[in-house]
Amino acid sequence: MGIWAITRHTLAQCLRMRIAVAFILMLAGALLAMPLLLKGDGTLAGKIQTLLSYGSSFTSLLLSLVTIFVSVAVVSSDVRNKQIFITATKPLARWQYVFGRWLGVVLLNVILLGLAGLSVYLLAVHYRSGQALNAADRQKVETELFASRRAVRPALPPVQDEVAQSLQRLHTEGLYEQALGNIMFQTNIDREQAHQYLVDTIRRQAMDRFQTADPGRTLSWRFSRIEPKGQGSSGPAKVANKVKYLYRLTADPELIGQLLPNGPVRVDGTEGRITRLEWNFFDLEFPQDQPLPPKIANLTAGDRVQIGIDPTVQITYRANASGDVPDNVLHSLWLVINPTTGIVYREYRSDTVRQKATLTVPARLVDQNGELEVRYVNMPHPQTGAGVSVTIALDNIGVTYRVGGFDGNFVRAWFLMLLHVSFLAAVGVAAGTFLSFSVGCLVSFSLLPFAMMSEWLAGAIRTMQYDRPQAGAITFVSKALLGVIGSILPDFSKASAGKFLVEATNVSWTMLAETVFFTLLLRTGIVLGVAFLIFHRRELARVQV
Amino acid sequence: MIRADDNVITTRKLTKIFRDFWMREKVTAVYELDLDIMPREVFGLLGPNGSGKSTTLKLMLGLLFPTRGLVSVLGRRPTDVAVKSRIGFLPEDSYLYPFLNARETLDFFGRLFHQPRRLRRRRIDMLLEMVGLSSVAYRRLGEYSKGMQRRIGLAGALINDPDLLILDEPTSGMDPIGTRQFKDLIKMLAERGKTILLSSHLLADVEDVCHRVCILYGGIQRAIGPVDELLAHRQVTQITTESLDESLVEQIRRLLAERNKKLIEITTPRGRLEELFLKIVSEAQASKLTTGGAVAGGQVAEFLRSATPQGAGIIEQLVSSAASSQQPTADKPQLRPQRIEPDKNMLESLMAEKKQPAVKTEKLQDTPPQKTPTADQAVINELLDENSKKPHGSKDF
Repeated sequence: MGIWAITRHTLAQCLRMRIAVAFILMLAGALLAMPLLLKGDGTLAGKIQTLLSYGSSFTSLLLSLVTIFVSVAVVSSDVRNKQIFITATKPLARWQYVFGRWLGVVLLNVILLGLAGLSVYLLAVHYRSGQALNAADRQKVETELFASRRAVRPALPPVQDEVAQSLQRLHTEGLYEQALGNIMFQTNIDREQAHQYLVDTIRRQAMDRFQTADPGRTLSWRFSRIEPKGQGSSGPAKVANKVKYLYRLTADPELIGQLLPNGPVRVDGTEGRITRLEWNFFDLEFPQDQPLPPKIANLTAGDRVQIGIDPTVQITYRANASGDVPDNVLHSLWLVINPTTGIVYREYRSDTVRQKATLTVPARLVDQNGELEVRYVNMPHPQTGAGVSVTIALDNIGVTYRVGGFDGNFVRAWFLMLLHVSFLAAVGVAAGTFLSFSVGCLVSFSLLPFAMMSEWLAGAIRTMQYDRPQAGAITFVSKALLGVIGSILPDFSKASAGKFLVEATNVSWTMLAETVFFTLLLRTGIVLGVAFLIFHRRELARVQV
Repeated sequence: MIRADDNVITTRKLTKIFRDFWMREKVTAVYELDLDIMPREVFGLLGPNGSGKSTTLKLMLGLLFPTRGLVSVLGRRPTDVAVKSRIGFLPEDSYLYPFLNARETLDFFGRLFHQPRRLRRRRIDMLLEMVGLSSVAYRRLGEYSKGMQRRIGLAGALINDPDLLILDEPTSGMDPIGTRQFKDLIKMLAERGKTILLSSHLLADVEDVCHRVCILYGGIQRAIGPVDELLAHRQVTQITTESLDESLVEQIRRLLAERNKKLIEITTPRGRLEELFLKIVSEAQASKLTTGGAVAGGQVAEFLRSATPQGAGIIEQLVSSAASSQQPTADKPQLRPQRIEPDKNMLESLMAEKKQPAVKTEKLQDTPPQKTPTADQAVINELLDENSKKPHGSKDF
């Protein structure tokens, strides 16, 4: 009851502090101004992506600031204003006070996140009901935004074998020592570092071969553990017109958005193939080599039917060109192959250089082992016949498939944000137990960039290690520092709610459980433990003699 | 296990030294203080500003840790959470949350004492009535005057019906009515078996309510003992009669001269400013003039008056049984026989009591009182000087 009393008190205190009101007003202002300021690419999908991205990022940033301010203030101001004299002389252990204060700030975060989340969610749903630019736009909204998808990365190419073979060849040809000597001479590093530098260089060269295709050449990837079964969708449709085997059906745009151009669709259990796809209707053709079931054959305009849509998988990629591309468009042929049956799906595509593209294919191309083979053929320009080398890095290609709905994923992504701000609240409360408000805020804020950009910082250090190996000491210190801070702070960038929602990437229960364990129980627990210890040993009364 | 005759507070060679960042000694706030505060005692810590009174209290409350020596409160360490449920504390300033109103403040305190909702509500109503803040119970404390904040602070200190009440400069900022009620409350609580420790540099406060006092100066105990013993002037006798005419006064002069007794002073007694003030306010209240602040306050809260304590701790039970036996031991302080009549108009009862003449004390310097064995007269004089500079009826006592 003591902890709960402090928690309630903290919540009341926070709600009556103007900072909480300021948060709500700023968030409301941002959400209202967003549609006016951010137009996106003109598509409905772009508009919703912008909302989800900026809405979650703005909420995360603003809430992080509010959390640090409030959590430092609730403890440090009690000590500064001596209100702690009253609380500490009540039957309440000091750890209970600290824990209650933290819990109160977390409860405030739950309320503010709930308000922010509800606003963003309702706006997104409102936008969804708007008119899409075209069928592709609608399809993107339904399959790439209002979904929860699992991403699968391609299997790594056998680079290690190539590295080992190359090293062996250098030894055999007696060139290994010479190579090391050259590296040591040029970069002024020791022998061990020079060996690592050589290995990294060979690995990069090998990777380039697996990721770059010259004109007319092919890249291929193999994906495994794809499990899209049981994630198809169905819904009502209405027959608008009918000419022999060709039917035109209208349906809810959200359902039509799940369809693939030329993709299969079942009408009351009979499969046909889509010949035309618009945002609010589609044409389908039934196979003419066999008689139609009477139920389908007797359909007339105005009849209602149930359509079933097979699950799909998306191949997302970003292609880069090594030379100048006249119209900035890369031409390619994609072959998606079922490794067991050999069924091939072909699609010619023209994609803008360095822009993310998505190829949606029926999930039946995935074999029963969950495997899928994808090939990319670098095609020359259809008019000029010119071609450039194209690189698709392993990080820039993946297969995604639907594993759940948007609503649940939204809640889980927002919960991730709550876990992060709960950690920040612990840092703030801990700082408040022994520092003044201003110093406590300074210390807490100085940690925030490390938590938000740790992935970027780690990448920067890796780059520095490769590009400037002579800066060994700086790299070593930076790595050590980042290692220490990284082990204390959770990596906010890896579990950003906005990133998950914009990509419609599934926030799995496993990941959520891991974050609860590492961020909430372990890291937050350790920080609060330190705060308990400091506060327990602290003389709360100021020197007054 | 705590026995009835155990001290409520014990300190042994209690020392507190404040150090700077480099751990160099900066100030010795309290030095080797030995105190034994007994159950049902009203004990005063006296001393000028900076004498170590507040530091001593904070050591007893676990807000500071001793540098050396021991301190025990209700038989346990001051940081023991269980002990705190039996303590009420009013700090030297009412450190309250300005964004809460009086009712929310007391509710928060009640929750910290794990009180069920019904009990909490009942006590809050009674305490607000007692301290005269019922009409402003929903105003935020940030809008309260200092005196009103002291009242709510006092209510907060009493919400758990404590066995031990620790009060630091309790009447600072209170108006004379509140001050008087406060003193009556202390006496009543002491009658009920509570132990009260108060610190003050206002001697009138302490003299009125305390059984024993300890005088501190520079963190060192200079004098300790019962108030009556410390203040007794055994060399003089004072007689108060009805008004005497000049001839009778002359006869008394002659009689004293015949007996070789020196006459020190014959004066006409005058009332105290406190009494005059209370009379005027009482009349104003009787004519129903409105006020936006605290009113005179009502009855002492029932749970504080009741014969059966509601927080039935071990000590409480033992103290209650000791009180019912009506056999105070020699070691225990003599409880004053005054009895609070809560149903009567409090102001009237206050007006009726203590009509003692004010005696000019400066003439007594010709015949200085006998020093008590432990008293440091220089310190007492200093305290008297400091106090005499304060006008009667000021915001302090």
